[in-house]
Amino acid sequence: MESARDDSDSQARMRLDRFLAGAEARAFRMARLATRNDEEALDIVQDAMLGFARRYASKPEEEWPPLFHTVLNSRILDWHRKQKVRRRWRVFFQRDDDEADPLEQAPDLHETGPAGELEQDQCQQVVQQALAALPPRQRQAFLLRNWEGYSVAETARIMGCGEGSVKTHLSRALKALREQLQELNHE
Amino acid sequence: MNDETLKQQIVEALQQDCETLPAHLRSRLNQARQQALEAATADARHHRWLRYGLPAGLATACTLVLALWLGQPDVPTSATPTASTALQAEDLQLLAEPTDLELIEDLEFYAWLEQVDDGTS
Repeated sequence: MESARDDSDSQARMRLDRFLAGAEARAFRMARLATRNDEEALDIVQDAMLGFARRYASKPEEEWPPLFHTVLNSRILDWHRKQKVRRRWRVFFQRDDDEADPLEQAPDLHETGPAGELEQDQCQQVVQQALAALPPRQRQAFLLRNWEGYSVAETARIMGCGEGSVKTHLSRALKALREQLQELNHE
Repeated sequence: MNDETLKQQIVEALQQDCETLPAHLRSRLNQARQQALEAATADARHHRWLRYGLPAGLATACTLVLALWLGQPDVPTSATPTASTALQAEDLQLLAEPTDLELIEDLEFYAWLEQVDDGTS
């Protein structure tokens, strides 16, 4: 009985491992687009994986992807909220200081790449810059719908808003991305 | 460029970026995943204990208490008190009465008196 339980435990662990291993790189990329910082993005992904594993690992496997993205999305929004509060305090204490937001000034660690892959890197950078410049909810809606492949209804459920809002976010995101990419390509 | 082509271009760029994630970041993500797996396993064990272990433990404890209670030897519950309980009650009564404080003070004298009485009777 004990060995049967151990087998079942190890199989469940393997399934969860496979799922998280398949999702972690995209989750990191999503978090990094929001934070523009590797460490912050890693923290968000770690927190999301922990929260998901603790709360939802016992749920049926087919329910995992939207649940994981719900947790991840909520962590990203939390990060944005905290940043907003921090920025407000910074503005309050440094009203006369013209110092720019350090996050905006932080160098992109992925900026340089091998010479042979320069063109590909440039394309990736341009896309990243355009996505990073989007408002958080537009970016999340775009990534969940177009990258993760969720339907509008699923995206709405993950983001905790109505389908109408998701459609609005998507249309605005696409318009902004088109403009951004054209602008960046011209530079 | 139409919308679909634009979306496809963006998704491809993101996908390539994920595939070329640096080794140190992959390693950190792997560590984070292992921690999440450990937490999930520990929580599953804890939940299993709460679901099965706790009720089983409580049931065992209840059975034990019941067995001990039912297995106790029958104590006679007669209306008249036994000799020892009657004596104890008498002692308590004596101690409780404030008028008999002198008796407590001269306890040795009364003990001697009792011995003398036993000797003569």
